Amino acid sequence: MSSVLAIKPLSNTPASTRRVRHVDKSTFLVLPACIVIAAALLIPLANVLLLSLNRSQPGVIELSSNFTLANYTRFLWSPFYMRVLGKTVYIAAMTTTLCTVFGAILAMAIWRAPQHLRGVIVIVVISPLLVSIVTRTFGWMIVLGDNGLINSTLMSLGVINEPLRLMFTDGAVIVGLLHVFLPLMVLPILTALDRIDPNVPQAANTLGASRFTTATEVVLPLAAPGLVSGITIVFSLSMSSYITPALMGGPDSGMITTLIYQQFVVTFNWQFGATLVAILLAVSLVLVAVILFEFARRTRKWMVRQ
Amino acid sequence: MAQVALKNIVARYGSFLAVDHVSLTIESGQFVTLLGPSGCGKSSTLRIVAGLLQPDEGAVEFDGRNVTAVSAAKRNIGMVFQSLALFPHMTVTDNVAFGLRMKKMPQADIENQVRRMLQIVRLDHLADRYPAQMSGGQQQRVALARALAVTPSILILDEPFGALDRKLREAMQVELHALTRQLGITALFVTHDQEEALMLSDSIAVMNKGRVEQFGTPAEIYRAPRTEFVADFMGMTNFLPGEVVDSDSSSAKVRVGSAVFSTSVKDTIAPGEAVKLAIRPEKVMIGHLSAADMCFLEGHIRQITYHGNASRYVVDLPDGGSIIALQQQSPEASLAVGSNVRAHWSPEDIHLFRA
Amino acid sequence: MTDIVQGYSFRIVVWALYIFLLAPLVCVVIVSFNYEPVQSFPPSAWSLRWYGEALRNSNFVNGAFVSAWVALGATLIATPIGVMAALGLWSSSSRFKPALEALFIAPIIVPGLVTGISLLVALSAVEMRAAPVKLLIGHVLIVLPYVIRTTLASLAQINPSLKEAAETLGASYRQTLFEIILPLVRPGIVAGMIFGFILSFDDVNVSLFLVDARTTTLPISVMSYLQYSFDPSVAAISSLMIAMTFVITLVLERMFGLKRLFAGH
Repeated sequence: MSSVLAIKPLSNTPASTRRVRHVDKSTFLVLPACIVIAAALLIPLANVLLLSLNRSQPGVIELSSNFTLANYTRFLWSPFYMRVLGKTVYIAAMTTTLCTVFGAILAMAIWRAPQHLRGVIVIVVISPLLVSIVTRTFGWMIVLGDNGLINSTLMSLGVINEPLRLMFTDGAVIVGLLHVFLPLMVLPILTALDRIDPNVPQAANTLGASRFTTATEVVLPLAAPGLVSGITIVFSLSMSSYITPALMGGPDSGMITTLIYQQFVVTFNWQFGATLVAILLAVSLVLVAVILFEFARRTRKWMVRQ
Repeated sequence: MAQVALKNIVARYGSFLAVDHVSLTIESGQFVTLLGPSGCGKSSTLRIVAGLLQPDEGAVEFDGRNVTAVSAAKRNIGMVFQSLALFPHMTVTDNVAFGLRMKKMPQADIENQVRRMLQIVRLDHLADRYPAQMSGGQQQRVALARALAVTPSILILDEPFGALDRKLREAMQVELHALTRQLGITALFVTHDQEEALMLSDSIAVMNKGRVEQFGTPAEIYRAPRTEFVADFMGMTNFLPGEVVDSDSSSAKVRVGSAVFSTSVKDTIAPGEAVKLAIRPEKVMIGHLSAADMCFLEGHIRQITYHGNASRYVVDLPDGGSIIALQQQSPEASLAVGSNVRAHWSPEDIHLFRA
Repeated sequence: MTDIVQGYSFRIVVWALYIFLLAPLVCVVIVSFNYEPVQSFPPSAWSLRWYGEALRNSNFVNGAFVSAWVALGATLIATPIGVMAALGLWSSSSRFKPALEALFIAPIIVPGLVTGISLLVALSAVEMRAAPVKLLIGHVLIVLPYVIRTTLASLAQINPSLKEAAETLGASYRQTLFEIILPLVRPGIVAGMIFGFILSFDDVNVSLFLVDARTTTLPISVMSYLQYSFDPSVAAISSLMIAMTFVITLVLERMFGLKRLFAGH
């Protein structure tokens, strides 16, 4: 009805029909992007999730309508796969914890830095993000390798005689991931800090709070939205990281993504690979949802909804 | 409560002199206001008293003790910010208790003090609310309670009512006046609103370009402005250029255009010197000359505006200047735009400033 | 006193973190000037020979061309789509707006590896085998959300009354769009394009499943090279990539402020 009216725009069109025209225009504008994302991401993703419900048949890539949960039971009853999943969650949790602590410190430093230094510091912090992950990992190989920066420094100082085994360990993977994801933690925290009324920390100061107390009791709680958004981003990206564990991890540092790559590229068992993808997404989503829910519960009362 | 003194304070931002050798003493229990337009240095001065800004020269003393190097956290002040700066993630109780907790006061004493403060500002029924759940006026009272809870040496208020609408602002002004007098608080208040300053203060320091132009009681500042800036800021909008033709120690004759007025002066101004005559618009009458000793200028009415409780006339003078008159009555029918009138006033309403 | 100790330890941690962030990148650049074929740190003699080696390596050069063309193509396709989407979202008062916002950040939320696998499976199902086309589709998904975000960030800076002011002055929707709004958001669009280009050029996760033996991107050929060889030519080609992104980053920060591209939802 109203869309029929909207075809003939009159100079004194009633407000209600004008709004309908408005909506039509923005619908038309967002349509191409919706189509691209639906066709290239959502439908293919749904397809993969459905494929996980097909019986696994290496070499077969078509989706069939015979659905089964066999792949999931195979995963859940296998101590090996469960151990890999546990390792993945462990490495992602360690990375996220370290990222949160260091990210909060860095964000506070940038927040307090004089305005003219901010641009430079932001570039330093962002730089890992803008350099290919391959280059970054290669850099860590030079730092952590047997003849690398740390080992040669320690040996020339006489602290050690044999090179320490730093590369190809879980620790190396966590260091590499920390390096990659630290900027993704710093930036949302910094945004949250910038939203704080600068008088609020000063008010704490005039009431006798030290800088440390002001930081822990006033500033950080108010930066919670940024912390939470950083934690969810870093955690889910760590869960699904592939290159850093593949290049920096040891033989037993395999994460679930390593298995996924094998299923799709080496053994061509796409159905089981799809199952691993589904499990990876499900575990990430559930853990992220728990974090978000807990955050919302704690801050529901004071958060200003604007 | 303490006596607070500023001694020759200087503060610079780069090459800009924000505070220019300011000396000021706030006696214990006094309510002092820093009044001036934005950029006059009043906020910088206030932040120096609070310890949030370090002066480049000079000293801040609390009860004779030099606290210039003491941080804001250790000065024992209470501050109400323009944005209020309530802690949004804490309840009213936690906000008010914060400063007491920082002083490591025993928990039972904190609870007593918080309860007492919330009673004083009449918010005891909202103790568990968060700031976002309260009205603007209630938030204002929380900020006040939080600042007063620590029994500060001085209460510092930085344009706290700037963001409120007119009605609420007036209510808060009355409340603040009552509260500070009842508790005998030493207070330093900053505003650009002269009415607010006149109403609240025991003394006012009018600031301009980083300097204190005049420090005195509200009545002194209003009735006897010492400089042209203070006169202008306190609402003397008529400034007529003139020249002294004759003078002695107590009076002077001044020529404005073709007219000559006599007025009393405090110090001698030599004949020939250029001066400005300032007259409050509400002291200027329009219409027929009645008393013989009145001063007057002739002109014609350019504009009449109605202000509810008053009418405002702009009278153009023959020499190109104009004079404004504010009358406490509705416009008279005989006075219309374009009509020739006499603007007149009593000699004692003239304030003379060296040009 | 404790304040001072806390202040110093805070500063030490912060500087350690700056070093942590920059060290691997600096090491790559230093090693690239090494003379020896074995990677040792610090280098014993200096030379530019590995830059020559890297530029003679046909895998690197071909990979660089593929990466550049794919990144350019994806940016040019994604930009008009993204700008339109941002404009639509900005002027929309629809109750589906939050859903649309979520949809538009989905390509960032879904891990790159999963995006790559999903496209691999879907494109195999429709018998699409040409690697350049597969890469292009994947990389449009990489660039698109960033163009949308930077454009939206710029639009958010615009005073909504400007649009109404133009309308009251008799401007049509099209005139308002092209003469008022687009000129104002141009920095945001350009920032999104440049940023999308860099992310696309550097991508491994999505591309990993879309390349084939003949068509591979630079980061992936560097990665495969790393798996069997370890000479400083990798450092040289990596240094060139670092140099490229750093120059672009500096320009971007000057123009737009990088922080706004990533932070907050």
